[in-house]
Amino acid sequence: MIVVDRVTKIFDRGRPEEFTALSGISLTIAAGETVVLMGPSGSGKTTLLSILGALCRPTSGRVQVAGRDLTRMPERSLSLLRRRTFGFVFQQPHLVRGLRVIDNVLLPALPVSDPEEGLRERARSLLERLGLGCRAEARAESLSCGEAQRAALARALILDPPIVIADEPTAHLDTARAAELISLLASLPAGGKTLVIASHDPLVAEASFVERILAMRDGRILEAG
Amino acid sequence: MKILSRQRRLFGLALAAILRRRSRNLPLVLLYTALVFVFASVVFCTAALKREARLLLRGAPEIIVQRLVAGRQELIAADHLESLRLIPGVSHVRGRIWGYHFEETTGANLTLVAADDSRLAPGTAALGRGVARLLGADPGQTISLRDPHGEVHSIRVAEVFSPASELAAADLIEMPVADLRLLLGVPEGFFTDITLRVGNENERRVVAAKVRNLIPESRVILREDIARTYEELFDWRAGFLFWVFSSLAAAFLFFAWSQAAMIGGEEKREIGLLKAVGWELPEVLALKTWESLIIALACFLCGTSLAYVHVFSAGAFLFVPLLQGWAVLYPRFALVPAIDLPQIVLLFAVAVVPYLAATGIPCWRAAAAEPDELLRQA
Repeated sequence: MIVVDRVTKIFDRGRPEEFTALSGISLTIAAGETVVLMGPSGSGKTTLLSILGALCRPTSGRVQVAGRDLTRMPERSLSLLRRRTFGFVFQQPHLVRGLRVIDNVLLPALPVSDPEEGLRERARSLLERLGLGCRAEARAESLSCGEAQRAALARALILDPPIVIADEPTAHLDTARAAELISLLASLPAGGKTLVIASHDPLVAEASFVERILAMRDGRILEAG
Repeated sequence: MKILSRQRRLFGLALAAILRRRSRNLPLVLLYTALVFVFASVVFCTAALKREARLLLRGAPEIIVQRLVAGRQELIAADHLESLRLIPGVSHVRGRIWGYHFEETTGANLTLVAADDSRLAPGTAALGRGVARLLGADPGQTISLRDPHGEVHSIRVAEVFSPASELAAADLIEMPVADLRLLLGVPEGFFTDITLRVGNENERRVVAAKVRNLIPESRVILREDIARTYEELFDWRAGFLFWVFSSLAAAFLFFAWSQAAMIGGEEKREIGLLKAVGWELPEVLALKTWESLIIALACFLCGTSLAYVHVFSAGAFLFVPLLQGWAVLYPRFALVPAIDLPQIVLLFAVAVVPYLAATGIPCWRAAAAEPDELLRQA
């Protein structure tokens, strides 16, 4: 379970360009639940996802994941939490150029001391599942947008995290590719994973696997759908 | 095995990152290699010249006695041999004949020496390798040397030295005593100088003082003084080059620091991504250290190898004039490699460690930021 308690995030605090991205947000997401954050650009969706995924700390408030307070954790524990608990799909695929697709997928696992062959096998299996089996050895830069986003999803799932966070995963995809990716995401809750997606794509909001939609604007949650 | 496997994977990733940013890394690599080349050349050159000097002095007599007139060296009478032999502690006394011959066609200053126990037949000579190269003379061929009266003497080359130290014999022509007396105009009953062998190290300075008392117009030179002069000379020259190198190194490290500090958007994005997918700070730093280490080691190996070729195969043409000093008049000689572990450790420590520090600190500062901040900045 994820508990967000009166979280505020202010960027460039004390400077002329100070900007409040989140204002006292409170939210609870149950384990295995699929939640979509919707709202226009600048509404704070990405910032909230970053805080939920331990990519940054809130200015005030608390975030608890499975009973552990993220806001008080030392950096090392946060790193381990990111590795073991969260799988992150960014708005941009952020694949590392020059590396093969399979090596990009294995990136989160690279420092993990698991037997390499086991991980490689898992990466291949994920790529097969996501329709990229034949592109495993290709260079990341040779992938199309849709392929790159699917490779990014495979990377998010390589260590089998219980929580998957996806930030505008369909933003750079055409309708067909977006539908394809949504159907891939739809298969995740069945595996017991918690899914938090930020999107302003109606295709995502209308997907059958979505259990709750939270509308955001100006750093606040307006309503729950 | 797990650690090795992890390091192997980090190495592969680091190598890919270097190749990915090759346009940014190439000027750095070229500059760095050039710097290591300069430094390694100086180290190799100095060590090889010191070795040559040590070899040169190893067989030298403990004391050399010269006669000075108006501050200039003059011939010394053979009569002194007997009185010097009577000084307690002196085991052997020998008169030497030697001198210089300026080879006009090549501009080289050759050293002519006579060995009183010479196995050379009259009318023959043994040449140092440098002289043989310079005059293009092989055994069996004839060379011509002019005496003080302008008369040309034809001398047959009996052999070419192959000594451990090429510097010691590079400019040397060895001849029988009688031939050299004729060639240099040294009359019977005189020598160029007199050498003494003194077995006991503690007695040498006492013997030197007694020689000065016995022959007031003499200049007495101890082997250890020559050795110290050589060491100081090469150390001073090397020190000068090291100072020049230090300035270059400081400039380069500043450049490397600024390059590393100006981490580009793509690199920031990569660091942010690695942290976002769960890499710990030490793991990110290990990757960045591998990147720096690969560059540093590649430059170290290239620079050192080029310096080896430069010093020991190409005659150290860039540095020898400065390190040798007066010896530029010598026929060209090849330095013999004198490389030992401390030299390599010194080269490694000076070439690799400061670079790791210069690039590591900016990377650490970048990697310490939150992943979200890094991804946003990128």
